[in-house]
Amino acid sequence: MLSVREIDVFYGDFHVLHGVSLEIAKGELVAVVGANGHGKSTLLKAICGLVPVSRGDIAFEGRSLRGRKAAHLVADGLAYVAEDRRLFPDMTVRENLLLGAYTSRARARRSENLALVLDLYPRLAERQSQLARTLSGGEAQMLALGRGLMSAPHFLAIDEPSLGLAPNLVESMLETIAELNRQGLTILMVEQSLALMEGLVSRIYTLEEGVISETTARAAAG
Amino acid sequence: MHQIVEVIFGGIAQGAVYCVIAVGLSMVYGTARVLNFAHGSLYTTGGYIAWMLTAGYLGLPLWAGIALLVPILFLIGAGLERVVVRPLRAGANWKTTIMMATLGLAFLLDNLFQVLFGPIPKVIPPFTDGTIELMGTTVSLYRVWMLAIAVAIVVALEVFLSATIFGQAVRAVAQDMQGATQVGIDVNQIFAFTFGLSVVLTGLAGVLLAPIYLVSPLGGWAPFLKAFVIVVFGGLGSTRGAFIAAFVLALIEALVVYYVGASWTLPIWLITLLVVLMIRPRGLLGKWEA
Repeated sequence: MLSVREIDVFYGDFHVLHGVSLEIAKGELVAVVGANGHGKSTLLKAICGLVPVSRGDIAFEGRSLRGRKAAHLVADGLAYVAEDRRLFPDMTVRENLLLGAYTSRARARRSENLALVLDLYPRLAERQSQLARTLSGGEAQMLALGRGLMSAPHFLAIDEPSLGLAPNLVESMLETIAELNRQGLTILMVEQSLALMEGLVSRIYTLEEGVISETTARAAAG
Repeated sequence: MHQIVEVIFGGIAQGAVYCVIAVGLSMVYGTARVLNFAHGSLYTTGGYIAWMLTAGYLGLPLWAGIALLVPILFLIGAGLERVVVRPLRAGANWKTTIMMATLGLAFLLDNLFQVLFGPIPKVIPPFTDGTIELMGTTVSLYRVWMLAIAVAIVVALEVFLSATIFGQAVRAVAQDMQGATQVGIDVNQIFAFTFGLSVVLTGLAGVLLAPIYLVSPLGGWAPFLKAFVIVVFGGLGSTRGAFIAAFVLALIEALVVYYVGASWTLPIWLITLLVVLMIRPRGLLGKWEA
């Protein structure tokens, strides 16, 4: 479904990713692990068109993403959930979710998807009219993921969903992600710790200093 | 007593129009992070184009002139973003570069008007010259209309921003640009749109004030400065803050004009601004990071 071939990415003069390749098949839950500053987030951002790729190619559902604008990728079915949430702080939870369905493809299924997200996270349903800036870390992460789901994605890239969450919240967040995957959503997620991912994912790529150093296949749970 | 009512009413009516100028300036700063120094010259542009369409050349009735003016102003604004602002955005220190580019554009427009129309101000006659009684004093009907139109424009803008999906996209870009991209909003499209809209707003203000201040090549600088003070006073990027600030400052202006003299207006505005910024560094309702 998604194939990244030999991509190089720079931030200014800094060479972040060196010939990184990876493959994700439809319905898979794949993880990229690695320490901070080794290019994990950059990899996700490159896939989602938020940073430019200077060499190599990324193909989604058989089509090259070269030169395609980030905003259009969302319409293609690629959604990105940022580690720093990137919510709209002065809008309500509900407004944030509804804006998640901005593309015309997602807007057609807006009320249906809203019901699904609120069903997934009753906490958000309770807090619909609250401003996003007033949410706790866990709720903000729920909203970030919920907003991503509102775009009716075929593929979801999630950057460190555990960041800043209490251990019990991390567990339920990962459980939710695994459940979304079981329902058929293809997911690529980035984490610092390998331990969190045990038993959840089908494959783990290890990223070290901008290079994939290891690929491990795991038996998926369930 | 009668005179003060007249002065205060006049001040409020003008404040409402300054608010229209200010919300445009504020919106562009809030979304595109650009301080547009040509905003005052674009105010003048609105006045000159309206004059050409009506009294000056084509002799159209005012309503038809305005109907033509709005899309013209929008295209000027959107074109400006596409041709001048967007290419500069890629460079280092783009905020400063773009600010200087808009300042250059202001000089270009000012001189263009000077060459095309000469230094003698152009007149757009008011669409009504009646008067009405207000609290025992007589005020010009045109100013009543001016107040009503300006408030209607600002309210319409507020409704657009909060109730339509496109308006929400504008707010989303202002609140988190990357977040907006992530939900599929084409940020450049929003930039072009807000520039277009802000030029419509400032240009219409230029037309509204034309019967009072006439249209002259440098006539946009005073309203621009005032709009700038309003925007900073109200909080950069906050429409509601600008709305409140415009009326507070208009009232102060009216009182200063009445008790001290018109030439003290801007100094006293700036002193007020200093006091507000000492207490609230981001303005009344400001929440923007630099």
